[in-house]
Amino acid sequence: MKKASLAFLVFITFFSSCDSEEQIEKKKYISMGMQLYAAKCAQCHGDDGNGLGTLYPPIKDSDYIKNNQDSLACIIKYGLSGALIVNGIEYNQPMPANPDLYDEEIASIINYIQNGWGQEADFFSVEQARKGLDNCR
Amino acid sequence: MKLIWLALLIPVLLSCQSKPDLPIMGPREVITLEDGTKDTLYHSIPEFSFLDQDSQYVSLDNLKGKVVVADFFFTTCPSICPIMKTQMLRIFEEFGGRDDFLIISHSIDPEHDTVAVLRDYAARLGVPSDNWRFLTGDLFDILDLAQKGYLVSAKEDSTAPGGFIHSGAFILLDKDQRIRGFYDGTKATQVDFLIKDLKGILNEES
Repeated sequence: MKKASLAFLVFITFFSSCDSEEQIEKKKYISMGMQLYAAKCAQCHGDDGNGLGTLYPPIKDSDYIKNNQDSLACIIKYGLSGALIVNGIEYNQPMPANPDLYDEEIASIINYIQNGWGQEADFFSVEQARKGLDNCR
Repeated sequence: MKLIWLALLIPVLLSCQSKPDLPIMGPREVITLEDGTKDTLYHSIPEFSFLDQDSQYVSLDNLKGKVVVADFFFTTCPSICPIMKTQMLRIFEEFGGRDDFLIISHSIDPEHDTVAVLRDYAARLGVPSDNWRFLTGDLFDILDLAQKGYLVSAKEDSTAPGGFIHSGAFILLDKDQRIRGFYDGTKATQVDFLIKDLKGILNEES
């Protein structure tokens, strides 16, 4: 009886509590992204991701981010200027470039900004970041 | 035994009540008055006149009798200014309602930061004009005021991000426009000190 329940427990453990490979990757990217965000993004976009007044747009729950997935890598690497609308509010302050960031770092920032502060999104891979970067040059 | 604890407690309680005396910063000279006695002339902010975001002139007169927190920034500054403004907002939230208090943010890029740009910037930051003035004017006059008046660094530098190199300092002035402290406006802990010192200075007689 004991052996059977032990075997049953092992069986359950293998199939229920482990993260998939992709989930583990995602968590790694998110934690790297969290550090990079704090170092490079938080001073304007806030530790809470809510931006600053109508000067710097929010990152958390931003419709602009949801609707511009293909441009995210370019924006993070090369900056952005000109007016844009986020969640119905107009912003027009130039965002500086971060040209020193590696592709993996850009992907990790994207994973953090989409999965932090209670949000959840699909894993954003380095390949997606590279594809985005190819199109902005 | 109990008496010893009480004896130890009294000096502790007494020291808690005394306010830290903020030094008066900057150069000073000893002058001889007409009656032969000597007095110390402390450094204070010199005369100036710049336009604010409402197109009104702000000069040294506007500072008299008020405790002032000043900084130098420019609206397109990518590096230290955003966090300076976030920290300044903390100060504004705490003291902005007082009529013996003023925040002055001087733009060191007056060519870009016109009155209209500053007005938009202040509105976007979410601050009403009254106790937080954003100033623009002649570049050299502003840089001069920064370096000689406020004793902080501010100059053009093509290699710096944004094109200007400037101190992230918040300068605390007393009601006689004398410098009483420098605080790193990019560090929340330093701004905590500033808020504490501000409370002390506000209670000082002019």
